[in-house]
Amino acid sequence: MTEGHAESSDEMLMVRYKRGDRDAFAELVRRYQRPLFNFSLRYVRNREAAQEIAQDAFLRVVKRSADFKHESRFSTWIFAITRNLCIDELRKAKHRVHSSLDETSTNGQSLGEKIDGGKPALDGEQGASNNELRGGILKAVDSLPEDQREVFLLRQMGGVPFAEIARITGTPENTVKSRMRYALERLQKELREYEEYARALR
Amino acid sequence: MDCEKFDTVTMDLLYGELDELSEAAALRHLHHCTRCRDIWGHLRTTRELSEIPLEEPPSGLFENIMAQEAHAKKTLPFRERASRVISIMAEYAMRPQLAMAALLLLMIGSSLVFVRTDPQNGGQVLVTELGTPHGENTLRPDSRQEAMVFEGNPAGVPRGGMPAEPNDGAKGAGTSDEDRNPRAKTTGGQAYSEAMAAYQEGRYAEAERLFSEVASSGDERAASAALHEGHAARNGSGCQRAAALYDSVAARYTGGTVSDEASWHAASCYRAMGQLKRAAAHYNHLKERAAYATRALKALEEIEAQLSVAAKEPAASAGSADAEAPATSSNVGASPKTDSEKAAGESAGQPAPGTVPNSPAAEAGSD
Repeated sequence: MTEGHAESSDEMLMVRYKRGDRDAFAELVRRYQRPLFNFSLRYVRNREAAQEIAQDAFLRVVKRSADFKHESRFSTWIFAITRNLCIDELRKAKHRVHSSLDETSTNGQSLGEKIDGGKPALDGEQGASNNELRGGILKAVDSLPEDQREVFLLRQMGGVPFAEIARITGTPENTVKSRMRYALERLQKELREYEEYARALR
Repeated sequence: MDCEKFDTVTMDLLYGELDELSEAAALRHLHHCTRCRDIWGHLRTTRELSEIPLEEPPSGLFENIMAQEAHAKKTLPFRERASRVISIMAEYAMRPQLAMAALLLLMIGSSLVFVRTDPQNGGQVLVTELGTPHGENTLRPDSRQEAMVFEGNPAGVPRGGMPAEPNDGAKGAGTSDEDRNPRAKTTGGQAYSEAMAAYQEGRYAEAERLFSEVASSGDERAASAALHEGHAARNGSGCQRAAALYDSVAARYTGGTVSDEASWHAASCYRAMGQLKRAAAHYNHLKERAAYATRALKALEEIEAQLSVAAKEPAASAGSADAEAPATSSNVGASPKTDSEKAAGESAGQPAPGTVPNSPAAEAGSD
């Protein structure tokens, strides 16, 4: 990775890649592999599928790089691609849609446990509360209705503006905002027991 | 902002998508509305609380993606590759530097066109300013433009009445316009150079004939050639013949610099021949021209002095050889002629075979 690439915007990196600069593409992968994998994971709730979706999303970027217009944001573009791949995956494997948060992965760990993997363990009571909070958040998000979860993930995790979400999902912007508000109100109920704890952490 | 309006912008405020003015209005509303402040507080806390902790992607995801990219680039269909190339070219085409370069080339190209279409007499301005022919170097000998103005119009003025050069009469007078034009068209520049060479070497008869051919060919240097034809005639045959040619050139190119120059030389010739009224007519015309005004006025004063002296002479009588006015646009009105002028003309003018040729226009204005 060159210093220039690290400072460049996503759109500039995409322009450079279209001119044949592979390092620019590598920088884009570094920036987006984590959020895309997590977005897919929360959307389809399956690790293997999420990994494949993340790979396929970048593959589509490669194949459709000529279609990328400089006027639009790269993040919006790649999250729209990923969202469509997630929908396809859910259609193909409907039986996974209702998988629970406690679905075990290949190595037998729960998702909640995975989240803390590799991070320094918090000591004592606080560490236990953090784990409990993270598990509660993931459970609450996974329990959201699909239309609300989609908007929530795009806005909260992808950082996609409401107007762009409306364009991606083909839904009026006001409807998108309403879904977001319903999702937050629902999460608020689910996470009420952690609210005081969260305030204390601030 | 009221509570209903605040509800519509709550999500935008929460995610920082409001413009500054609306955000300030919403915050002002929050400041004094307990209900909205309470709702806002809960939503903000929930938003902060529900920040999903990101999981590290599986190891090998980056390598897999890059490997897929390398493979995909090799197997891209032709259409995708073509669109990629077009996209790259379009990006270059839209660059402002390229547009500026194109504009610069356009400007240079158009200026070249204007330079190439320089007015026909542009190279002859120097002749006028110096007052005398400065030689062929000032006449752009390298120019090869076809002048269409005189195409098919051999002379524009009657030339058949002019006396032929005694030594060269058979060739000069016997050459028809049909014979002259093809040569002039094909070798106009060469003919002019040959004529100029003959002139400079003192072969005035040949030079006069060659200049005459160029003058009647429609070549772009026809005007200059006609003037030089007059010079050659003056040097070879004398002023009487040259004056007629100068008159003809002055009439043919009326309004141009060549016309003025021819008029000046015609005046000089008439003055040398003693035909002072005719000379005065030319000088009167030239005094209106900035390049000749001073010299013309001085010449007029001298002529006036000469005329006054002649009028006092007892031998003065009616009748004059100064019967014609020059065929220019600013003729002097005909005045009584004197024998003294005629006598002076015969003594000053060089002998020529034949009478002084008069243009039809000049004859119509004579007594």
